Amino acid sequence: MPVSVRKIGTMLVAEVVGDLDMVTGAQLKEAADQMWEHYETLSVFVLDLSKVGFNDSSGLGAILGRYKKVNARSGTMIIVGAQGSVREDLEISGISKLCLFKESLKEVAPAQE
Amino acid sequence: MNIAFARSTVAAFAVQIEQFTEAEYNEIRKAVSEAVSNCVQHAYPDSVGTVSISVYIEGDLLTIVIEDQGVGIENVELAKTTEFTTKPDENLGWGFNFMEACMDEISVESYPGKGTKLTMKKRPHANDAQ
Repeated sequence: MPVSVRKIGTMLVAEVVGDLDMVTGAQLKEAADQMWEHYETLSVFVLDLSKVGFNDSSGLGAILGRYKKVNARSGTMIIVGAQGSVREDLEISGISKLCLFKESLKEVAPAQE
Repeated sequence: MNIAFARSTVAAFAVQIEQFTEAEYNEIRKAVSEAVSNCVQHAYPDSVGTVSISVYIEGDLLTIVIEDQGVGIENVELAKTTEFTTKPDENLGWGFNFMEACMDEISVESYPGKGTKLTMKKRPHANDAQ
Protein backbone atom coordinates (compact mmCIF):
# COMPACT_ATOMS: atom_id res chain seq x y z
CA MET A 1 0.00 0.00 0.00
CA PRO A 2 1.31 3.47 -0.84
CA VAL A 3 -0.15 4.83 2.43
CA SER A 4 0.39 3.43 5.92
CA VAL A 5 -0.50 4.82 9.34
CA ARG A 6 0.57 3.76 12.80
CA LYS A 7 0.27 5.05 16.34
CA ILE A 8 3.33 5.66 18.52
CA GLY A 9 2.22 6.96 21.89
CA THR A 10 0.45 10.24 21.26
CA MET A 11 1.81 10.42 17.71
CA LEU A 12 0.15 9.34 14.54
CA VAL A 13 2.79 8.52 11.94
CA ALA A 14 1.56 8.42 8.34
CA GLU A 15 3.88 7.40 5.53
CA VAL A 16 3.25 7.87 1.82
CA VAL A 17 5.36 6.01 -0.73
CA GLY A 18 5.48 7.14 -4.36
CA ASP A 19 3.22 9.92 -5.62
CA LEU A 20 0.92 12.06 -3.50
CA ASP A 21 -2.04 12.81 -5.74
CA MET A 22 -5.83 12.56 -5.75
CA VAL A 23 -5.76 8.78 -5.36
CA THR A 24 -3.16 8.44 -2.61
CA GLY A 25 -4.39 11.70 -1.03
CA ALA A 26 -7.82 10.09 -0.58
CA GLN A 27 -6.15 6.99 0.90
CA LEU A 28 -4.20 9.17 3.32
CA LYS A 29 -7.38 10.97 4.34
CA GLU A 30 -9.27 7.76 4.97
CA ALA A 31 -6.57 5.93 6.90
CA ALA A 32 -5.30 8.87 8.94
CA ASP A 33 -8.68 10.39 9.81
CA GLN A 34 -10.00 7.07 11.01
CA MET A 35 -7.09 6.64 13.42
CA TRP A 36 -6.99 10.31 14.44
CA GLU A 37 -10.67 10.28 15.32
CA HIS A 38 -10.50 6.92 17.07
CA TYR A 39 -7.74 7.93 19.51
CA GLU A 40 -8.54 11.24 21.15
CA THR A 41 -5.15 11.23 22.92
CA LEU A 42 -3.31 11.69 19.63
CA SER A 43 -1.83 15.18 19.53
CA VAL A 44 1.01 14.99 16.99
CA PHE A 45 0.54 14.14 13.33
CA VAL A 46 3.77 13.06 11.65
CA LEU A 47 3.63 12.89 7.86
CA ASP A 48 6.60 11.05 6.40
CA LEU A 49 7.17 12.21 2.83
CA SER A 50 10.75 10.95 2.51
CA LYS A 51 9.66 8.42 -0.14
CA VAL A 52 7.49 10.86 -2.11
CA GLY A 53 8.96 12.25 -5.32
CA PHE A 54 5.86 13.81 -6.84
CA ASN A 55 2.80 15.68 -5.64
CA ASP A 56 0.07 17.78 -7.23
CA SER A 57 -2.49 20.22 -5.82
CA SER A 58 -4.77 17.34 -4.74
CA GLY A 59 -1.85 16.02 -2.69
CA LEU A 60 -1.35 19.42 -1.06
CA GLY A 61 -5.10 19.57 -0.41
CA ALA A 62 -4.91 16.22 1.39
CA ILE A 63 -2.11 17.55 3.63
CA LEU A 64 -3.97 20.76 4.37
CA GLY A 65 -7.14 18.82 5.13
CA ARG A 66 -5.26 16.73 7.71
CA TYR A 67 -3.69 19.89 9.16
CA LYS A 68 -7.19 21.28 9.77
CA LYS A 69 -8.11 18.17 11.77
CA VAL A 70 -4.91 18.41 13.79
CA ASN A 71 -5.36 22.11 14.41
CA ALA A 72 -8.95 21.57 15.56
CA ARG A 73 -7.47 19.50 18.39
CA SER A 74 -4.70 22.08 18.99
CA GLY A 75 -2.23 19.44 17.86
CA THR A 76 1.04 19.72 15.96
CA MET A 77 1.83 18.59 12.45
CA ILE A 78 5.36 17.51 11.59
CA ILE A 79 6.43 16.81 8.01
CA VAL A 80 9.41 14.51 7.66
CA GLY A 81 11.82 14.16 4.74
CA ALA A 82 10.14 16.45 2.19
CA GLN A 83 12.62 17.15 -0.59
CA GLY A 84 12.99 18.63 -4.05
CA SER A 85 9.83 19.78 -5.78
CA VAL A 86 7.68 18.38 -2.96
CA ARG A 87 9.42 20.65 -0.47
CA GLU A 88 9.15 23.60 -2.87
CA ASP A 89 5.40 23.10 -3.20
CA LEU A 90 4.98 23.00 0.57
CA GLU A 91 6.83 26.32 0.78
CA ILE A 92 4.92 27.97 -2.08
CA SER A 93 1.56 26.83 -0.75
CA GLY A 94 2.28 28.19 2.73
CA ILE A 95 1.78 24.76 4.31
CA SER A 96 5.39 24.98 5.54
CA LYS A 97 4.33 27.83 7.85
CA LEU A 98 1.72 25.63 9.50
CA CYS A 99 3.94 22.73 10.48
CA LEU A 100 7.41 21.73 11.57
CA PHE A 101 9.91 20.17 9.20
CA LYS A 102 12.26 17.36 10.17
CA GLU A 103 14.84 15.63 8.02
CA SER A 104 14.18 12.10 9.22
CA LEU A 105 11.79 10.08 11.34
CA LYS A 106 14.66 9.43 13.77
CA GLU A 107 14.48 13.02 14.97
CA VAL A 108 10.82 12.60 15.84
CA ALA A 109 10.69 9.01 17.08
CA PRO A 110 14.26 7.87 17.84
CA ALA A 111 13.45 4.24 18.66
CA GLN A 112 11.31 3.64 15.59
CA GLU A 113 13.77 3.58 12.71
CA MET B 1 -8.30 5.67 -11.91
CA ASN B 2 -5.42 6.13 -14.26
CA ILE B 3 -4.06 9.50 -13.23
CA ALA B 4 -0.58 8.12 -12.52
CA PHE B 5 -0.63 6.24 -15.84
CA ALA B 6 -1.63 9.43 -17.70
CA ARG B 7 1.10 11.65 -16.29
CA SER B 8 3.82 9.00 -16.62
CA THR B 9 2.88 8.20 -20.21
CA VAL B 10 2.82 11.83 -21.31
CA ALA B 11 6.16 12.54 -19.59
CA ALA B 12 7.67 9.44 -21.21
CA PHE B 13 6.51 10.65 -24.63
CA ALA B 14 7.89 14.14 -23.92
CA VAL B 15 11.36 12.65 -23.38
CA GLN B 16 11.73 12.84 -27.17
CA ILE B 17 12.32 16.57 -26.64
CA GLU B 18 15.72 16.07 -25.06
CA GLN B 19 16.25 19.70 -24.05
CA PHE B 20 13.61 19.47 -21.32
CA THR B 21 15.21 19.44 -17.88
CA GLU B 22 14.22 17.04 -15.10
CA ALA B 23 12.34 19.92 -13.45
CA GLU B 24 10.43 20.54 -16.68
CA TYR B 25 9.45 16.86 -17.00
CA ASN B 26 8.14 17.15 -13.46
CA GLU B 27 6.12 20.21 -14.47
CA ILE B 28 4.64 18.25 -17.39
CA ARG B 29 3.68 15.41 -15.02
CA LYS B 30 2.11 17.91 -12.66
CA ALA B 31 0.09 19.71 -15.33
CA VAL B 32 -1.29 16.41 -16.67
CA SER B 33 -2.07 15.25 -13.15
CA GLU B 34 -4.04 18.43 -12.43
CA ALA B 35 -5.93 18.21 -15.71
CA VAL B 36 -6.88 14.55 -15.40
CA SER B 37 -7.81 14.97 -11.72
CA ASN B 38 -10.16 17.78 -12.79
CA CYS B 39 -11.81 15.45 -15.31
CA VAL B 40 -12.24 12.66 -12.76
CA GLN B 41 -13.60 14.93 -10.03
CA HIS B 42 -15.57 17.51 -11.95
CA ALA B 43 -16.32 16.33 -15.49
CA TYR B 44 -17.66 12.98 -14.32
CA PRO B 45 -18.71 13.64 -10.70
CA ASP B 46 -21.12 10.70 -10.41
CA SER B 47 -20.16 8.48 -13.29
CA VAL B 48 -17.30 6.74 -15.00
CA GLY B 49 -16.22 8.38 -18.22
CA THR B 50 -13.47 8.51 -20.77
CA VAL B 51 -10.68 11.05 -20.77
CA SER B 52 -8.72 11.16 -24.00
CA ILE B 53 -5.22 12.53 -24.20
CA SER B 54 -3.36 13.42 -27.39
CA VAL B 55 0.24 14.55 -27.35
CA TYR B 56 2.05 16.18 -30.27
CA ILE B 57 5.65 17.13 -30.79
CA GLU B 58 6.53 19.69 -33.46
CA GLY B 59 10.20 20.62 -33.28
CA ASP B 60 10.74 21.42 -29.62
CA LEU B 61 7.09 22.29 -28.94
CA LEU B 62 5.08 19.87 -26.84
CA THR B 63 1.30 20.10 -27.16
CA ILE B 64 -1.00 18.13 -24.87
CA VAL B 65 -4.74 17.98 -25.55
CA ILE B 66 -6.98 16.51 -22.84
CA GLU B 67 -10.65 16.02 -23.63
CA ASP B 68 -13.66 14.69 -21.80
CA GLN B 69 -17.34 14.35 -22.62
CA GLY B 70 -18.43 15.30 -19.13
CA VAL B 71 -20.60 18.02 -17.62
CA GLY B 72 -18.50 20.91 -18.90
CA ILE B 73 -17.57 24.12 -17.11
CA GLU B 74 -20.25 26.84 -16.94
CA ASN B 75 -17.82 29.68 -16.35
CA VAL B 76 -14.24 28.95 -17.39
CA GLU B 77 -12.86 32.27 -16.13
CA LEU B 78 -14.35 31.67 -12.70
CA ALA B 79 -13.02 28.10 -12.62
CA LYS B 80 -9.51 29.39 -13.37
CA THR B 81 -9.64 31.86 -10.47
CA THR B 82 -7.16 31.11 -7.71
CA GLU B 83 -8.72 29.23 -4.82
CA PHE B 84 -12.04 28.86 -6.61
CA THR B 85 -13.30 25.39 -5.83
CA THR B 86 -16.64 23.64 -5.78
CA LYS B 87 -15.33 21.25 -3.10
CA PRO B 88 -13.70 23.42 -0.43
CA ASP B 89 -13.22 20.68 2.15
CA GLU B 90 -10.38 18.92 0.40
CA ASN B 91 -9.48 21.04 -2.62
CA LEU B 92 -7.30 24.09 -2.76
CA GLY B 93 -8.67 25.39 -6.04
CA TRP B 94 -5.18 25.62 -7.44
CA GLY B 95 -5.49 23.15 -10.30
CA PHE B 96 -5.56 25.73 -13.09
CA ASN B 97 -2.87 27.82 -11.36
CA PHE B 98 -0.58 24.80 -11.25
CA MET B 99 -1.24 24.10 -14.92
CA GLU B 100 -0.51 27.72 -15.82
CA ALA B 101 2.65 27.73 -13.72
CA CYS B 102 3.89 24.46 -15.20
CA MET B 103 3.13 25.08 -18.87
CA ASP B 104 3.80 28.01 -21.23
CA GLU B 105 0.25 28.23 -22.48
CA ILE B 106 -3.11 26.74 -21.61
CA SER B 107 -6.47 27.19 -23.25
CA VAL B 108 -9.86 25.78 -22.34
CA GLU B 109 -12.90 25.23 -24.50
CA SER B 110 -15.90 23.97 -22.61
CA TYR B 111 -19.51 23.35 -23.49
CA PRO B 112 -21.87 22.67 -20.57
CA GLY B 113 -23.37 19.22 -20.95
CA LYS B 114 -20.98 18.27 -23.74
CA GLY B 115 -17.49 18.34 -22.32
CA THR B 116 -14.22 20.16 -22.05
CA LYS B 117 -11.11 20.39 -24.21
CA LEU B 118 -7.93 21.59 -22.58
CA THR B 119 -4.85 22.41 -24.66
CA MET B 120 -1.47 22.95 -23.00
CA LYS B 121 1.83 23.84 -24.67
CA LYS B 122 5.39 23.85 -23.47
CA ARG B 123 8.90 24.40 -24.84
CA PRO B 124 12.21 23.72 -23.12
CA HIS B 125 13.62 26.83 -21.46
CA ALA B 126 17.15 25.61 -20.75
CA ASN B 127 18.62 27.85 -23.46
CA ASP B 128 16.50 30.93 -22.78
CA ALA B 129 19.26 32.83 -20.98
CA GLN B 130 21.80 32.39 -23.79
